[in-house]
Amino acid sequence: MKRERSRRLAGLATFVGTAAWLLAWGWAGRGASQQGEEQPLPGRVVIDVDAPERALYRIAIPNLLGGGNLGSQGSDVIRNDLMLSSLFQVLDSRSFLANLEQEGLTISKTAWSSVGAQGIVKGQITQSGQTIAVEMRLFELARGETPILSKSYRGEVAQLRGFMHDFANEILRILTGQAGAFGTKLTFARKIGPGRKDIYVSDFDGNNMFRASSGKGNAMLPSFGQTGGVWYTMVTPSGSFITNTKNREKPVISGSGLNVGPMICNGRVYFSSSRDGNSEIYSANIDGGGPTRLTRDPGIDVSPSCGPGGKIAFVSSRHGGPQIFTMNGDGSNVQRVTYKGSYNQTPAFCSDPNNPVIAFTARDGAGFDIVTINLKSGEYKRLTQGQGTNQDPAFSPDCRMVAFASSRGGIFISNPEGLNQNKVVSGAISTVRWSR
Amino acid sequence: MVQIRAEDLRPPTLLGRRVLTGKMAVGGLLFALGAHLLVPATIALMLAIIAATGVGATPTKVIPEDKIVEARFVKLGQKLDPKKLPNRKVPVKTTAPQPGVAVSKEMDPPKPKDPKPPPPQHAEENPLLHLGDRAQQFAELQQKQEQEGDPKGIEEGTETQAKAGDLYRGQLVSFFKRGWTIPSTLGDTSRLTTRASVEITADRHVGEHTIVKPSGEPLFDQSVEDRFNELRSLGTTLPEPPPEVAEQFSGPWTLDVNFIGKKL
Repeated sequence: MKRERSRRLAGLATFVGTAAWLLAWGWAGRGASQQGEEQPLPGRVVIDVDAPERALYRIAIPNLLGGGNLGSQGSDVIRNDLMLSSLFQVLDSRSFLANLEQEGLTISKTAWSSVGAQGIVKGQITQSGQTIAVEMRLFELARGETPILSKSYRGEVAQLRGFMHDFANEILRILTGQAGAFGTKLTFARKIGPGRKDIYVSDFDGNNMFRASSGKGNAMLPSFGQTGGVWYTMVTPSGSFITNTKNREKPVISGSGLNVGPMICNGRVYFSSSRDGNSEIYSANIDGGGPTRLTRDPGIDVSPSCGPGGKIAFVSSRHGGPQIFTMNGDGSNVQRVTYKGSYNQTPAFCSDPNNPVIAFTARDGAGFDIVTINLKSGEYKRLTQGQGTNQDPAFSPDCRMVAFASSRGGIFISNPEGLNQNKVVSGAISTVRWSR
Repeated sequence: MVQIRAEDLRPPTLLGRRVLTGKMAVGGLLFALGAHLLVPATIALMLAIIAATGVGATPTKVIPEDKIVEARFVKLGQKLDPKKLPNRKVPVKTTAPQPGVAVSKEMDPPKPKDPKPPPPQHAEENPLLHLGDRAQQFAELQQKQEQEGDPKGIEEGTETQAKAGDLYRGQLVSFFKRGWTIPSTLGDTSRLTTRASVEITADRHVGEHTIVKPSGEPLFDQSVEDRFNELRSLGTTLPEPPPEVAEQFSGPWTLDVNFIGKKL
């Protein structure tokens, strides 16, 4: 038995040894062949070119066919939208070589590639009285002459701008995977005389501006409600109260002391109040009932602002100068956010939970500027510098644009790096808020 | 009377067998045991005496713990005030001539059509007019810092020393990379690679190219096509190879280029 076992063991050892030799031989051979592959063949070299720069997408938007002036008005809306997004270079229509009438809603690839276009927007309006039918197409030359997006609209002439904003949003959705925020609205306080402000609402591009407050008092610090309407603060000789456009300027939240800066989220109204002697952050039901104090600190707490996940950003002077803090919607988990800058205020969240960024007004020298901070990395970015006083930032719902009030005379929109700054509303403006 | 036998006069040989007696065996065993036990017993006795009396003991030295000093490679730059906000990043406009722009010594530079009249005497230049120029200069200064490397190296390089062939490959990478742009509408392109093959003519011009393996994203592939077309239409020549590898890159040859995307 023992002899048999030892014979088997010897056989096994021989097998293992042979296999190990074979493996080692094969490994060495493979390594040698790999080395041979890395060596360039005579007359043939392989190089890796990586990390390309990004350039604006070159898009051609000729006037929509038909509809008289409506054709140019419609294409102007899309041109302006895409330009403000800071992702596109809208090509000058004077450079177009294509025969637009002959092409109709199709394209000739050679005619458009020769002017450097990567994408082409085509459209046609058919008008019948005050009713219009609009056919829109998006082509991408790299994908051929078949449209990658087609959409039809039908409605009143006055709806044309809305149709164009919608198609611009669709263009962004097709090209980037995330729809745009064109067609959204801004609300802001605008100085209309000495010591007097009113609340205004406009399209994000500054069009269709109208006054939302009554014009009978001093209205300020507006924000959009969750179900429509605009909330704001009315300051009267007898005190201040919070109201909204649905209540026709009747007090919704009032009481002793100052009650200012409403912000609506989590189904509640967040505001700051000095009803208990010191300025603190409170929340209340939408009807103004059930006010709850959220902060308890000897410092001044103001400017609540809603963020993703029910988070609230606010300004507090509890550590000296005003700095940005965040907390949960119930006032728990207070965390300091900003440590740079001596006077930081008016925070505004980016509403994308995957992009945890807060924009705020900052001062570390003479004037105020717009700065953002990434809550994950702690990275600060200054959007304005040496361009007058810039304050009260607001993110667009897709976080691709930042609007802010500037002493350069109105509301400016830029990208989140502060580039491509364009004035969209003129006037002496404060407290800009972007609809969701 | 002592009797001497004949074998007593012969020297002992290995062939002669000696008879081992019992006395001899016991004596040898005792000697071996004594030799093996005596030496360690003596040493043990000495150690016991030293331990008991403390004579000859050397004082133990207290060895201080080694302090670990963390070494880091310090980045080139300046100390920032932790309380100060960063400056706005100003995009740097390139001041280098466009690729393909011929600069000839023979050609006279074009003269301006309407030369500006000379400024009046004692005129002061308005510094506000040149604020943008200065901002541009500062922005360029901020971005370009001196760093170790090879004067013939490329900005994207990671090594400080290289062979002649490596340097030329780096120059080829720069040649194709500069001016290659992808549209900003593309998101994360780090997983995209377009493999292209391009003919290089004997006079180092970019010839015909083919996309050997597309990336699957037409816009990305188009950006590669655009880059080759641009180089061809401008008639730009590849950089001259160093003499050490000139033979390898002489005459028409084929270059394979992998165009790889970038993370957002």
